[in-house]
Amino acid sequence: MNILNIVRYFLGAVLITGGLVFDVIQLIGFFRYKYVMNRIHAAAIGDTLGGGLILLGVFLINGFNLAGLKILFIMAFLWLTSPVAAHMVGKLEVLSKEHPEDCCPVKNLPGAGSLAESIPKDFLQVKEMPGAGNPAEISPEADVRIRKEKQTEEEQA
Amino acid sequence: MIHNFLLIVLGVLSVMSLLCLLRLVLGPTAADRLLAVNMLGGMVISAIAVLSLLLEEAYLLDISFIYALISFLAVVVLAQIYIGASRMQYRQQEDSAAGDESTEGNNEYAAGEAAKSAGEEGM
Repeated sequence: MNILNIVRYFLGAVLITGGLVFDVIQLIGFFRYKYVMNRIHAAAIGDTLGGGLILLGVFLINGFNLAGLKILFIMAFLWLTSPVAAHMVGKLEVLSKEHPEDCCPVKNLPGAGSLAESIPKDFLQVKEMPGAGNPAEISPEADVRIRKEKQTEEEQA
Repeated sequence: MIHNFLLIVLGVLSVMSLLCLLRLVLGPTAADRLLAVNMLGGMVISAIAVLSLLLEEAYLLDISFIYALISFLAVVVLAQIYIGASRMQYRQQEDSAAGDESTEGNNEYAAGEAAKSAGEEGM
C-alpha cells in the first residue's frame, strides 16, 4: 500500500513536470514566432498537452475520488474548448484585416479575389481543393492547375 | 517533499504567467493579445488545480472549472465583437470613399453584423 502511494506520487510528479516542460515550449514558440497564425500553432500545445498533463498529474496525486472526477471534467472541457478558442483567434486575425490575402495567402481556393468574400460562398466546394479527398476524384483542370502551382512553388523555392 | 515540489511548480507557473502578461502588453495585433489571454487562462487553470492539491481544499477545483468556462466565453465573445467592429469600420470607410464598390462589401457587412449580433447574444 505504501509502495503504491509512493509510485502514484512519483508518476504524478513526472506528469506535472512534463506539463511544465510543454508550457515552457509553448512560451518559447509564442515568443519566437513573428506572426499570429504561427503563434496559434505554438499556443495550442500548452492548452492541450501542458494543461492536460498537469491536470492528469494532479489527478494521480489527488487519488480516485469525487475531486478527481472534477479534475477529469476540467480536462475534458479544456480539450473540447481549446480548438474552438484557437479557431476564433484565427478567424479574428483573418476577418479583421481589410485585405487578408496580403498577409496570409490561401492557395487553391476557387475565388481568387478577396479571401473574406470567398469564404462564405466557396467554403463547401471541397471538390476543388487538392488533397481533400481521393486524388482520383479531382477534375483534370484542377489537376493541371495544381501541378502548375507546385512547379511555380518549386521555382520560387 | 511533495509540498516543496508543488511550491516549485506554482512558482514556475507564475513566472510563465508573467511572461504571458508581457506578450499581452507587447502584442502588435488584437489577435496576439487575445491569444495571450487564452494562454494565461490555461496556465491559471493549472495553477489553481495545483493549489487545490497544495492546500488540500477540493472546492478550489470548482473555481478552476468556472475559470475555464469564463475564459473560453471571454475569448469567443471578444473575438466576435472585434470581428464585427472591424467589419463595420471598413464598411464605413468604403462608404465614405466611393459608392460603386459597395455591392461587393454588402456580403462582408452582413457577415460582420451577424457576427456582432452573435457576440451580443453570447454576452
